Amino acid sequence: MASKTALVVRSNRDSKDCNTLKARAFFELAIPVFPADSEDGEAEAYPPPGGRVTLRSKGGYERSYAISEGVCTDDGYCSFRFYDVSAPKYQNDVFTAELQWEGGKQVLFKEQKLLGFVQAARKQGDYEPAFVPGPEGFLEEPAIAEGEDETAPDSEADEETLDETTLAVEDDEAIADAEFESKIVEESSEAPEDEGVI
Amino acid sequence: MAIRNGYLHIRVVDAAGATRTPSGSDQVLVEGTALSYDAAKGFEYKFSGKKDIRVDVKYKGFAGLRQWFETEAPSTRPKFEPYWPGTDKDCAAAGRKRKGYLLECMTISRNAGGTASDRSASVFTVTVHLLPTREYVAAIGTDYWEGALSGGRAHKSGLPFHLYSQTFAKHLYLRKLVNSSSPFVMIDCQRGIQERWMRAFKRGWRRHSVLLTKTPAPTWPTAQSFRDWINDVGSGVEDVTLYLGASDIYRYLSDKGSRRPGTVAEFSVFSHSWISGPILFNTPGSGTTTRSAKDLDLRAQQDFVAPNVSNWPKVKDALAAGANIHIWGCFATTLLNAMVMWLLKKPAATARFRQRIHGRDYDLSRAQVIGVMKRAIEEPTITYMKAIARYSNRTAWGGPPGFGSEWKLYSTMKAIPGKLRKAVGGVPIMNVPATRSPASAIRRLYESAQLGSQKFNWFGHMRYKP
Repeated sequence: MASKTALVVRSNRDSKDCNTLKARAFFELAIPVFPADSEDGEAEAYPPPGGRVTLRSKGGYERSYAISEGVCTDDGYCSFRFYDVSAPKYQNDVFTAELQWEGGKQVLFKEQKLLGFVQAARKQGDYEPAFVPGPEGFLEEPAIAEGEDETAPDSEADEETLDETTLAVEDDEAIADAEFESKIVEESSEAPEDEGVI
Repeated sequence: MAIRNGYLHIRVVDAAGATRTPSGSDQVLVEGTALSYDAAKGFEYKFSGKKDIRVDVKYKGFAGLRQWFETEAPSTRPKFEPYWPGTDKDCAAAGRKRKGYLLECMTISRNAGGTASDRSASVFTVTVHLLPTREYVAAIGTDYWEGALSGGRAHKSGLPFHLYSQTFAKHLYLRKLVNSSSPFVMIDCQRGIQERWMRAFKRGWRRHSVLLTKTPAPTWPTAQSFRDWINDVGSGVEDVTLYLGASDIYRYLSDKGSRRPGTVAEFSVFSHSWISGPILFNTPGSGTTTRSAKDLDLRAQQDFVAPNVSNWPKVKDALAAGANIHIWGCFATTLLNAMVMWLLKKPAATARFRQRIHGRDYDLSRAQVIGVMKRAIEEPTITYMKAIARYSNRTAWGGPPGFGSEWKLYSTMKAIPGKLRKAVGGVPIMNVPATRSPASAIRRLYESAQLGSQKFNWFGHMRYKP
């Protein structure tokens, strides 16, 4: 985990492509982890190791991750990030998240708007579970499209995450960020056309 | 690292995942304070500081649900971790926590958004899958000395009746007769405790909370100590109201009949038993239709008629449509057993049943024997299963007249489908050995037209129709 993190950090520092990716917004879904401890023959832990988390919308969005692709930290949750939910066509869309495994399915949430979480992070509110469309929306911040400096960190917080020393002191959240970044680097070649800002 | 707020959103949904919009008195509370409801967010609560919170879901017509969480926010990483207090053996144990225990009917997700540098608050969404309540109520009798009062050979069987009730809870759940948002309430007369069990996610049935505590029954180390205790009950030295008994059981059911009718899907009694009903303590009865104030046992002749029934008027209202009642103890009446054995010999129409039983001589025709057997099956003033079935208008199951109950590992019950046996496992359950097998001659006799074409279940219990 640590070496992977370092690799990601270096790539952020040296590659404008990766830094571009870092600016992308995401929706993060996390589910709790429970050990197997059943008397009823349900020996599997939760989430089931062979399962998949799927986020889909009525408007046609669909992306899934294998459980093994999730990032688990010591807070007892396993996280998945969805980087492409902010395309214009999904602004007013409602999303449903499901966990599926062989012989079973669980609805994690049903028909919720997600973009409000991203907006909230942009200091446009404490948090909003429902998206409010308008000129201040997330789509107004396409860093690449606006010709910003692609290599410079865009905030103090980003400078922190670029510091390898910080990552080395068991900062789980930063490590989790780095792992997600690593995954998105691998995914970037797919360049889904729905992403809009990239 | 940025400090972030933490929020809890609670959504109550039905089996299909559709929101159960609150109405009337429906509430979700945190630490006793009702939360406001918003269609988009559900019931919302903002974390404040580091503390444990108790969440109650109270919807009219449903069993209440209670879950505990450790929380901390604002924080660099808001915390929200489920737990139940106590231990699996003692859910009221002070200062103890069962971390990671979550009601099986609840799912949690943590939602957030933003970028690596700017993130929203963490919103923990708890989805409560509130299914129609189908409660399982199990009454547990004491492990008293059999034969100690009758002058027979006194013995104590050491039967763990509470374990049988837990096995049956697994059976009911796997058969989908109860569900994950419904409680299993154990009224344990031996331990003097009425406790609620719930299904914990990935753990199965676990003790959840204590509803009522009374005095535990004595352990009666010797037959004489049991006789002494019974004598003290008779003389009034021992106050039986301190113990859990028949009145507590019926009152619990009646209370459910008042507050959320039609939600008890199963009522079972795991105890010693006889023709007149489950024996919880073997306390003395009154011999009249009025219950003795010193009696803790269940009684066919008294419990469902005036004046006693007015003390628990809503028992029948508690039971769901199609609810079942199981009386797991013996119905080993010697005379009735002898009659069945005599009938199995296919006596001629003119043959006589001539036997001396318990000092009394019987000389009966075949038709008279059949008549006695049918009365034992069909007469509510004689047989407890028939009495409660008739009163509640629900089917009761119990031993057929004349036969006793034993325990056996569930996994070895051949009448039960293999998949179910494997899922429930090698745990003990009570059953009637004489009629457990469909091939049993005794069972076939009861299934014959001459004894009314009776029906049996996998445990060898006979059906007593309302």
